[in-house]
Amino acid sequence: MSEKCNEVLAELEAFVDGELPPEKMGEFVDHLHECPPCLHRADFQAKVKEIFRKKCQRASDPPETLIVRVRQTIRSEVRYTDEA
Amino acid sequence: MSAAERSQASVEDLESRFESEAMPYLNGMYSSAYRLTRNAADAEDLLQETFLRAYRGFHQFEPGTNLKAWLYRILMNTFINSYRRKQREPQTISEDEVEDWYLYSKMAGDGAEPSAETEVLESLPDEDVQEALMALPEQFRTAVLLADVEGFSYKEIADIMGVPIGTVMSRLHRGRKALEKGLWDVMRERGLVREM
Repeated sequence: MSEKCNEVLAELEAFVDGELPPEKMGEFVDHLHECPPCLHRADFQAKVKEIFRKKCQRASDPPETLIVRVRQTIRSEVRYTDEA
Repeated sequence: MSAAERSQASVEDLESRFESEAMPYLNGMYSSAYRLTRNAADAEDLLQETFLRAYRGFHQFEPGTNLKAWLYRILMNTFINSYRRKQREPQTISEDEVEDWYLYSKMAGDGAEPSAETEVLESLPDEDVQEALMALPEQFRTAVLLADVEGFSYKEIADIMGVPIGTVMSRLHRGRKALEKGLWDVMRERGLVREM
């Protein structure tokens, strides 16, 4: 692994998060194109992130009673504001 | 229109704007609240308080700015003030225990396609993955939740958590390493992988 690989791997997380500064992007992507091991890691980490997101987003909805409760709380706050 | 009528009208306007703009976030935020508090009753109380505070501050919300991030900031503040104190849990991750590229070094074989390598992870039940997230200490759990599940940017997470961007990045890095280890452990417990 070259020094360039180490530089790229140090910023791989930011790259996968879409947070790499635009001025670094060109060089970064160029390296991925010419370095299969780094590209492989980038693909792997992106895939893990995507699977994780999918599995955590399928979550249960709150009970209907919560929505009612929140609306009631706000309603009574509105009334309180009216009277004040 | 009298002053009283004007103020009545603006209260009604605020309430209907809150209903149409903020309330739609309630469902999505329930999952986050649940993952922060780790139980349904506390998650409901946390959200009720969050939305009450949000309503009280809604006249200060600048239209056109990021409402979701604004609501999450209130959620986090409410959580820290009201619930975190109740929960006794370790706040750190032991740094040395998990090496970088943890899952990659365990799962990625030479030359295999990343999609094939991650199939095992894909086969885990959602609940297992969600539990691995919830097992992380709170600061790390929050950072990973906001970035990977809710899709906030580093800058937005820094605002929501009230910490510098560098802290967000370090919590994400350490949180994800610990999460990778947690996921590996559950894949092993389920007999989906063999320890190499």
